[in-house]
Amino acid sequence: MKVTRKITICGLVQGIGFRPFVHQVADRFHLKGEVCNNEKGVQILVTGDQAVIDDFYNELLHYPYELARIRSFKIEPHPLQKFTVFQIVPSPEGKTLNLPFTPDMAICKKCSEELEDPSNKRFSYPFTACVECGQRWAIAADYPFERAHTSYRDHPMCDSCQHEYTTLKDRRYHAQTISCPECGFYCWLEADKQPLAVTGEEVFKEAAEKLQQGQILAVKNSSGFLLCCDASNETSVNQLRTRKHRPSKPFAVLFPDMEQVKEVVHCAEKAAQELKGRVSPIVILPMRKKPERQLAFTALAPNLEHLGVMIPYNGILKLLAAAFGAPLVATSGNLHAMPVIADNQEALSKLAEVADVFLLHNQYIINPQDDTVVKFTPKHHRQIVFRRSRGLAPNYFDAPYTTEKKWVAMGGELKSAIAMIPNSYLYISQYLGALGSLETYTRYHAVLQRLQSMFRFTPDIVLADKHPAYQSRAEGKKLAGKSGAEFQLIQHHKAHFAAVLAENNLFDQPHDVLGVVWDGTGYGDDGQVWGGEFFRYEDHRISRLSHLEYFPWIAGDKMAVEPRVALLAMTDDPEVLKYLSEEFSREEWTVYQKLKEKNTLRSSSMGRVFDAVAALLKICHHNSFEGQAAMQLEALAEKADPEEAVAWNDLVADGDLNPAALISRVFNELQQGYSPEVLAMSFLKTLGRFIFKVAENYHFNHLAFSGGVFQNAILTDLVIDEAGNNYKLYFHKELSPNDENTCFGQLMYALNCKQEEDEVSG
Amino acid sequence: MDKKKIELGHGSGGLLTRELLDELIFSTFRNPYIDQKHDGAVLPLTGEVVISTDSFVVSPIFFKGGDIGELAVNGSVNDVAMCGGIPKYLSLAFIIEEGLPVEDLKKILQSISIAAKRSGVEVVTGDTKVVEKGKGDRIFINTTAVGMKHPGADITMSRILPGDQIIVNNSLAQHGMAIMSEREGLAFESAISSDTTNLNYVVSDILDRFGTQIHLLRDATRGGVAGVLSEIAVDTSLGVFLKEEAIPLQKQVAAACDLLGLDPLYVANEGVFLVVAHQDIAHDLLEALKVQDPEASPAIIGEITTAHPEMVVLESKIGGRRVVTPLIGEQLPRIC
Ligand SMILES: [Fe+3]
Ligand SMILES: [Mg+2]
Ligand SMILES: [Zn+2]
Ligand SMILES: [Zn+2]
Repeated sequence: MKVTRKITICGLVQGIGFRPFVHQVADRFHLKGEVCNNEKGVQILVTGDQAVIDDFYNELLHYPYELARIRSFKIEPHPLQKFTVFQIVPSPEGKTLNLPFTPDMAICKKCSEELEDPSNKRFSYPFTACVECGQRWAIAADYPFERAHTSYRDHPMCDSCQHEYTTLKDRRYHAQTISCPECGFYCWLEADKQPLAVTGEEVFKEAAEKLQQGQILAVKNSSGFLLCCDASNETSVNQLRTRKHRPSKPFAVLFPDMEQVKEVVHCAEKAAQELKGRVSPIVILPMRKKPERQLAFTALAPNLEHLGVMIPYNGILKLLAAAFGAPLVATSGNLHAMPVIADNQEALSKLAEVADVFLLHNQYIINPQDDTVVKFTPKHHRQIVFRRSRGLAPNYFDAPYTTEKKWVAMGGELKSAIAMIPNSYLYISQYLGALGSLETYTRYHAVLQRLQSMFRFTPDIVLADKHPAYQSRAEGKKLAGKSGAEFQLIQHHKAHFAAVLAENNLFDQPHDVLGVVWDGTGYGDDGQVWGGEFFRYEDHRISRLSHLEYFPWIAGDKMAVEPRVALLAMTDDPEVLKYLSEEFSREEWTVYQKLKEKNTLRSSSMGRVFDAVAALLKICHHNSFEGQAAMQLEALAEKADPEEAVAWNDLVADGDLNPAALISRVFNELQQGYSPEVLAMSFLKTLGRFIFKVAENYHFNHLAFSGGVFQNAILTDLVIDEAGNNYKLYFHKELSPNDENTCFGQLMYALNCKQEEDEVSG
Repeated sequence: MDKKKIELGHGSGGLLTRELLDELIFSTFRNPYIDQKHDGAVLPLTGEVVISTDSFVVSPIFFKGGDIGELAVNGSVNDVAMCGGIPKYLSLAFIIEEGLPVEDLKKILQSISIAAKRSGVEVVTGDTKVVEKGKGDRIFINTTAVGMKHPGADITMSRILPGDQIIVNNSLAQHGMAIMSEREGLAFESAISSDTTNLNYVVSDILDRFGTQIHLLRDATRGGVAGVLSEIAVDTSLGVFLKEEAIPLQKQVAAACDLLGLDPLYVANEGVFLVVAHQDIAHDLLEALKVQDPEASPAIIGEITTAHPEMVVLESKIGGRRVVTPLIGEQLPRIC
């Protein structure tokens, strides 16, 4: 007797070839029926013998499709329905979306081969993609993931593509982003509003020529613009710096292949796998002492020992890199402090002063994203995410919470991102940047609106950072007002801690956890500037345990920009002051002394301690980008002989760290002739000791780390070394330790932690 | 007066009070209204009356470019002017902390008298209280200014239109920086003076000439220019676009702000006002301001736009566009 069954599969199952996969499995079992994407995932109707259907179901369950992330399977009886074939049917429209989005994926091996095969119809076709690779989130306007909901909507398939699309055995069977030179998109090159090259290969050949001549090229990539120039041409690189108003923040470099990568940097297996993987992020790798290929290193990454490396992850970059044949600077196509640009007209006007030539295409990018950036710690090869964007955004899986309500969390200010729970999934937007710039703020607002309209929801609760002057807080308040939602404020560092607790699923385990949350600044519950915090997590409560001893915070944001001011604020040691005074004009000196005397704002910022030490070692006097001094300090420490550098245990013997005493120690050792390299390392080792001293004093065996300071790979390795087998350590995994995680942390704090009475809510 | 310092008795209503009033106050302000020595004044006003009150608690009470007395007159006079009024009369109330040197009070009264004369208002009624040591901070002053509405004025937020130009009469942030330098004892190498002044004549002059083409007038006191503009953006649901280049700033003020990590847009002024005017008259108005005060540096600093509703945006010298948020308490650091 034949029966019909309905199978529902929820999770990340759309835009990855899941329905074709189901079709193939059904054919193997000779089952008839249909499969479609719906608002929850994939729904299958099959008619056949009960036993065969059970086998079919078990096959799907136990040998799931590799690219899928499945959350639930369900099989239910269904009224008998007759089918003559098995087929993929269109998605029903208009339901409220309840499924994860598919992130963009790096080009697969087979598509790469086609791209390079002169006999293939997609030879040199920049938009080559299949069910297993290519753009997804970048071009998604709405869901379910169907061609009609993407930038491909206005590009109907040609007959040949249509044929592949409908052939079960074809690897582009039901590939929503199928296209070819005949029916798809095209690139062209232009300068001064004049087209330079318009046909396929010529575009890239001509572009490579311009790059060779030292020109700066703006490339419209698969998720936004990149700015490129010859990475071995110092003049070009410096010119790009000048035009972009980016004096020293390192540039990423696009290498044509892994061979060239290895000529310049050390690339361990884990890093190589990451580069070649589906995300294919920028990986920050240590430069070779004696590179086999000369690049303009000092211009690419001034005062740093690492280089951000990427390899081509789509047809556009493959063709460009191959045509040029050597490493290229590849940095986000934006102006200083603005979001990445993804629109031709906008690029042509805004980047007119930056780029000499434009490599454009006619595909509309709906969700612009920067490249994701990761690093591996040198010794223990732990991955640290620096920026979470293309390839990872916007899903977040497996966060611990239950809620019936709809939530939005507004995140931080400088490294903003938005998190939300509009349905049974949790989403974290791509990195959006510093909200002080109108363009970034506008992008932030637009992303919020897009996600709201895609999910067709209004929040019940809106969360924001407690900082009274954060734009994200003001925007959250507006959103809450408009939606009639509750508005709650969450302290910055508690959000950080909750984020790392959630990533490691620690809310419901029996141990107390020490939260080590170190960053630049965050507004504290006491109105002071926090940043060197220790918390206790115990049974759904987070409480502040101790912190770096307070020092005066003077001169507003200037103290975060000028390490010398941080140093001045931190120390009263006459010797240090004498040494420091030459860094200031007479007027600055007297004014700052007075400010310090009269100061009422206090800070426990660990970020400023890094700044102060960097200023004392005279390696960084001006932070032209966030965390510059700390990065240079790390680079310096890396050059030290680790045996020579010792932790200053006496400074942290009581489980406290007084920044003034630390500064005096560094200074004295410097006077005694220790090298800045060794002192930088000793400083990091002392911080490591500090953490475990606090853990000992309060009897913790479980330690969790968050905050921008833990982007420091050396410190991370030191902590892992020091922990040995006596401690259990928890770090961020998929998220960055920096403020990008606070949106997620706000949600996790509100959903998993009881608020203390003294915590004021908005 | 025999006493060198103000005592509680000076506020008791007794003999000492009488002495204080007669010898210091009534003798300083002579006019038919105050000469009556009544509890109040009967004023010959007809038509639309404009009134504004303000309390002054500045510390220090004497500073470069002015003192609390001058501030107290200019403050209320300017507020009436900003409403499109022509100020005529002033009330004057003191709360004095016991122990204030009589000499200081005399100096303050002198400044009040000069400032009142300069702005053409008469002090017609007042009050004096003395509080115990520690219950005040030397001297607090409250003034209320009363005047007639200028016949050509129609000043209200709702008249602001997209395209309107934003004009300031003078360079920013002098008062706030002068006070800060005095109070914190910051030894800036170049002296910064408060810009406190009465704005009623210049306002009435531009109202004579441009009337209803002037849509809004605001003095940029506490909260600075950013405070006023944020209010405009929120209340009108329009955007305010500023050009950093165009904002007049004395070199030494800019340097001092930079030194302290302060944004001059948030620093208080006492002689700076903003005009939001129809674009057709903006340049003529600018010229008029230049003629009125050849020492000042008036400028068109921006305009009203529909591009970014409810937001104040500053285009920097290198082309970036920054969102200017209203000041919340002190200038807390936001950078990580
Ligand atoms: Fe943070
Ligand atoms: Mg007032
Ligand atoms: Zn592929
Ligand atoms: Zn085609």
